[in-house]
Amino acid sequence: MTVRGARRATGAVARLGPGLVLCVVGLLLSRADVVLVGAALAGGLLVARRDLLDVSLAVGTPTTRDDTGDRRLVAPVTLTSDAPATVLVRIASPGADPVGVLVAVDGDRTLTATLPLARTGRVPGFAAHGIAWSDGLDSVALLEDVAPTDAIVLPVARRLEEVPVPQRLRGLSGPHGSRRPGSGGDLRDVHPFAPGDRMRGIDWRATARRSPELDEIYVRRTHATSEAHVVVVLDSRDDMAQDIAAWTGFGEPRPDRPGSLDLARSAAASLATAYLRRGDRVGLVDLGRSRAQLRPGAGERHLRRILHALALARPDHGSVGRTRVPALQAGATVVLLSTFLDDDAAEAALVWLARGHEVWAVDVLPPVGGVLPDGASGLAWRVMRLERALRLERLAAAGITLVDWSAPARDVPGPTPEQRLRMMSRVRPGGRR
Amino acid sequence: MIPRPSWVARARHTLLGPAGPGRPPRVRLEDVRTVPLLMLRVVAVLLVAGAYALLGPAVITWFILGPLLVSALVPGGTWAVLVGVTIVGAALAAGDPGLRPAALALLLPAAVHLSLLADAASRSDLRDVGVDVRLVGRALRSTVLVGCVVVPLVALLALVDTDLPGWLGVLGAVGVVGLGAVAVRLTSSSRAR
Repeated sequence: MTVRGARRATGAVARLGPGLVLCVVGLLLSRADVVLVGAALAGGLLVARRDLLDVSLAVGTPTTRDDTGDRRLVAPVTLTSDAPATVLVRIASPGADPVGVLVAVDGDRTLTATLPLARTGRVPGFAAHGIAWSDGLDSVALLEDVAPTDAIVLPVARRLEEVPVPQRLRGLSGPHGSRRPGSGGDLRDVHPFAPGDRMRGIDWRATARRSPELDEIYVRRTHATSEAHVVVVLDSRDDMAQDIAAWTGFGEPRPDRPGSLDLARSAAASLATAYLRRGDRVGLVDLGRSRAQLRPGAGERHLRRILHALALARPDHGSVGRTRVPALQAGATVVLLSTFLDDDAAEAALVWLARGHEVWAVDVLPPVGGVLPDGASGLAWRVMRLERALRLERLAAAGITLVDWSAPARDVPGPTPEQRLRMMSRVRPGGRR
Repeated sequence: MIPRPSWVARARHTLLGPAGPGRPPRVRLEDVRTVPLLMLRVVAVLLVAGAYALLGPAVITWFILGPLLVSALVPGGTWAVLVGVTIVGAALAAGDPGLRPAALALLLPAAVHLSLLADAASRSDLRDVGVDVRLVGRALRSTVLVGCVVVPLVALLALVDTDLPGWLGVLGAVGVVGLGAVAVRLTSSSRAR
């Protein structure tokens, strides 16, 4: 049953009043034209269908749609009615202004609710409320409310032209040259033939030049190739919105402005895509969960696995969290994505550095705006900001490379993340270990 | 010291909410073409005013109808439209308008229907509610359907110049009392079905 008890709308019944008055006045004055005008007024209601049999309102599962450079959350809103009806639909989504439309329904009618979206992960969909009137606007009923359904929105990878090659490489094959001899592409040296050398590697010209009597045979030896192991560490313990009022629980974060976790997902997806497309191995560790970990892997399938794990990562205040810094594969390069609003992530970075990992720290705190707090809250925010700056300075002093992922949005003078990564890759040639 | 915003800025903030980028995004409904709610009210008021102007009333009577129609522009203003329609009907009965009732039979029902639609839309707590153009089309269609019957009859009456018998007036008064009782019964019942 979708109509929760229809009632007569008094306003529409009052509509009969002027028509009846004109009819009576016309009859009393023997004026047929006045009677006809009165009949026209009352006739509209009498002719219209007055039943309100079965009206339903439903909202489908939300998905995303990419318009030109603009991502939108989209969900179908379906209205069904057996008889012609008028339905006032109110569609709302947390953090956005709701919309209301008075719609004509006769049979099935599908509308599309859309909302600009910059957030990723688990995103709340659309809630719907409705009031239905019969065709004559004389019966009115409340429709059952529709609760919002969450959508899982995958992060979009930003195209990174150049990413730095980690200092430490692993494995016996891969896209990067290493310093070990092996079957790679780059020439290492020309060396006398030794057991284990391949016959195909014999350099007959060098042999003829160096040993005309063919006492020794020379082979061309090449550098082996290897791959980088990159472990993306996501600090999902908090998700800070751009509006500072939302930090303390007042108001919902806006869906068209990315929060810190959205920036972290975007950065992680961009870096993982760049490294995996190049042939390296990428793993994922969630710092906010005690067990969530994807071991380094390669390939498109692994990339999809990472994107889904990123989308599902969110602050879990009921989780115990990690009590120790997670152990990572030896030689892996750590990319730590955090807001660095507390000491835990920074301490973990220093521990990994001490264990011999190369560590890059990516700052994902979004540009903080809105109504900045005053009084004690304002003082707390200023202290927190200074502590964070000191924390980042300490990491830089320890030799950890910092990348500010939200610098362009904050209008901070300095390189964009792409420029910073390009600078890192050019300053340090990488590989060759 | 932070300067206080001007009264214009404060009024704008009260009426329109925070300006520009500070305002949250709005959910949009696609696949439906809408007209603004205020436009519906304005059209309804103009239809009543136009019908009254057709009857060529004295200027002084506009001082009664004018404020009434202005109050029809606010949410829940259908009562003002209904009273306005009654005044127009009374003015019609007072004169001998010839073929004008044919136009009135189209304008007045359309005004009432549009005003009712506007009142239905303003049941929402939202400021900017759109009204589906199909509903406007539906209102016009029902008006035209009724007009198809009434307008030729009015034209016929203007030509024939027939007077109704007096006993019909008494019958009509009895009928109105009966219909009023039915209306009271319907509005007091809690459930339609």
